[in-house]
Amino acid sequence: MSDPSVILKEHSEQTEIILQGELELESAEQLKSALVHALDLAQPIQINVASVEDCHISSLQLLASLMKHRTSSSPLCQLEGDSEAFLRAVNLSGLGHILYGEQNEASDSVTPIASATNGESDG
Amino acid sequence: MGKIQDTYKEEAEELLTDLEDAFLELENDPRSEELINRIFRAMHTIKGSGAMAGFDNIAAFTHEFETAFDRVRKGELSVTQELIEIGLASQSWIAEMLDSNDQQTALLKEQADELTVRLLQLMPDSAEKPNTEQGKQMAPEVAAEEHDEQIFRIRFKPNEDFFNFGSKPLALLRCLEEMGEYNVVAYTDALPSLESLHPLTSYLSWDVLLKTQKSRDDILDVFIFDEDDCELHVDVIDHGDEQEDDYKRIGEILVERGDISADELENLLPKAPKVGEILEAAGAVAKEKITSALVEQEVVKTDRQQKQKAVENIRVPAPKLEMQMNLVGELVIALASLNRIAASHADTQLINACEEMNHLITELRDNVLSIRMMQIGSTFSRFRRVVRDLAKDQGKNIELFTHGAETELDKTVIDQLGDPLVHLIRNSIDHGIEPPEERAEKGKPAEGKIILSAQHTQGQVVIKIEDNGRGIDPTKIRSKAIDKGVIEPDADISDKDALQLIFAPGFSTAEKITNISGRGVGMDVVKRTIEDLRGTIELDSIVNKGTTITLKLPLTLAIIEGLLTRVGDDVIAIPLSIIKECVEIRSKDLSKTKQGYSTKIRGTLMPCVSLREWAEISADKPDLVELIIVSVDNESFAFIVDEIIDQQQIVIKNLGAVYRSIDSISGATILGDGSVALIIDAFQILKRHLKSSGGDAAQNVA
Repeated sequence: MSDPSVILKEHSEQTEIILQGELELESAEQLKSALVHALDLAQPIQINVASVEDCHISSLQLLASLMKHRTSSSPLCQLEGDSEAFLRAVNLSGLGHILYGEQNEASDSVTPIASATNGESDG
Repeated sequence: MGKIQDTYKEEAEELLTDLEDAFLELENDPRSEELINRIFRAMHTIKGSGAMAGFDNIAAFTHEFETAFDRVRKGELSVTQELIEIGLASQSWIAEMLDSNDQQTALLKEQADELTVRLLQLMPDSAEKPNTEQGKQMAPEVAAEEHDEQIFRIRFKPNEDFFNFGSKPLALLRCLEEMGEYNVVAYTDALPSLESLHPLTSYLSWDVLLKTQKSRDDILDVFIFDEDDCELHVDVIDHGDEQEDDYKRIGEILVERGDISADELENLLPKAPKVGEILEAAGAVAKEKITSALVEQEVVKTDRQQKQKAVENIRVPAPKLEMQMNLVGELVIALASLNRIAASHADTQLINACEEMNHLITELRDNVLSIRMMQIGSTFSRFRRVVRDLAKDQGKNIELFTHGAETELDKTVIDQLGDPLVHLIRNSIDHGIEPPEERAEKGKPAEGKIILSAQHTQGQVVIKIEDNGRGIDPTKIRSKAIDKGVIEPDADISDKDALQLIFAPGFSTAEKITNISGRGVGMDVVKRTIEDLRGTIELDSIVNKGTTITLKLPLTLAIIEGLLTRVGDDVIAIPLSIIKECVEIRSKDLSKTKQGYSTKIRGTLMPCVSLREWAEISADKPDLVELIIVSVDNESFAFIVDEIIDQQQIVIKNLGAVYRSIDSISGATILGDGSVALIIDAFQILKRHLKSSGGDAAQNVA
């Protein structure tokens, strides 16, 4: 039996979600459950993506939804230990500014248009 | 096999047909740049899409041919007979590879190596070994035609169910990224909160700005399997030849992208002078550049409108059309029921509403039928290769002529027509057309002809296969039939009837069995297939002049206009397409002789067939009867019925296997009250009538 691609770990002060291996479409259901459960625990969420080998967009859009819809009362959410495959997926998808924040985009050569167009002349 | 692979196979089959046609045309016109480009493009797409769909063997194999034809395009390699032979063999190889299993794949790989070596021998300065690794790595963009660098805007919005088909947006974006300088912005507006988000639904969309030397077609190739499942716009926004400072303004870009309308923009900037005016007044941008931008906007707009038109064609799976046809059929039956109820209630409003429904459903039916209509040319084009290859194998010179390729037939009919036609054409090549020396002895031109034609007549499609070969000798057929016990030695049958014996099971006149035909298992199967399609097959032949085989097929197998008639208590449907007129006469005006019934219509003697006697109905004859005058196979005759009930659309239902042998009934239909009416096969009834009456015309319809 292969290792699960989504692992939820409840620590005393934070909740850790470990994503690993190939995050296929089927993994998105597990990831959603894990994220919803983690939110219910109302403590900081650390999502470790260091061992991601491939990532379907369905998982990225779940993470993007989590980050996009967070409010001041939401638990702190943070991505940790980026793998090359995960960063590549993030940069291809153009979701870096949502997953990592506007000022802290995924470190890769791809430049999101959003930042490139800032400061253009109007008209 | 996944959806992508299925789609690839469909696309590849179309491309292979085009490729085969192009090679055959190239044989006659080896300098045609248009044909060479067509072959290159087909090879390129087969290769590129093959790599994306996981058909690595095909991608690797096709790569060498694409390279060869690229060299032909550049004038570095000549089109020779050997190149065309290899090309056609490659086309066949790809077709086989698409349908091969693991066991066959090993054998095909050997064939591929042989073909590649033959190809490389034509290119002396090329590498000696097939470069299969290079081909394996081919993505659609590799080896594509390089253009000047352009900037494209690719707006890609997957449908919500995009993931369900196994499609992966990131794989598509990765392909784009590999094509050049890639910038992307994701649109997350549609992304709901985590609680409401369905993990298997696609919510994101993207704008990709791609600076690349690839063409728009190369970009579209990336989406070849997904274009039906997403919104996709690919536009050139910069051709790469503008001045450095000649970029579009934000407002222009937003308007151009459709994010805001020009009117909205104008309304939001009511008092401000136009940007162009400010820039012009400040001397920042020359008036010509503003004019140029306006022209560009117009060109892009026109271009988009044209592209919009281009995507109006959509690919629909055949089962959906089948379902649509079945539903229309059920609707027609339900309408018949409604009409009957309306008539019984004598409610004018209800009757009017039913009439309106009738018009609409007729329109819907015609529309659905027209969607199912396909040109027979796609089937005809298969035969050019068959004729070429078989003629070559047998050392014969044969040219195939086709007429009426644009003739349309129901898809179901066309699908089932291919194999019988192949068999008939193979027979013409094998048995009909003589070898050149034999033709020379007979004073015939060395080149034999096969003419394949199609045309619409009287609600039918008539397909003819004619050859100018040695013809069929009825005496020989008769003798063979006696030897085989198909007919009695003392049977008195006409030459015409003798020729039809060729369709008897197990009958073969070939003196030697070849791998093409002559096994005697084909013509009876051909006849049965045509008859299953509610068609007929006839053979005419003149010794040393040639043979003509005529197939008559209905336009559709689904719904027809029919005339419902009553005989006794039974309802019988007659296809409206064969009816010329209806005349009411008194029963006593009918004459009966040993040849059957007849009467005079406007001074002309009209042979009549009593459907009462045909159906063995014993009810009393009415004083007044209706004559339904029909035209079948250029013969006019009348069916005698008791009464005309109505004209209506009838949904043809096949009879069960038990009744299939009744050749004078072509099917049945369900009436509005749920009862069943038989649909007569007028041709078969006429044939039977003429035979039983001993009429001379029987010779023409036997």
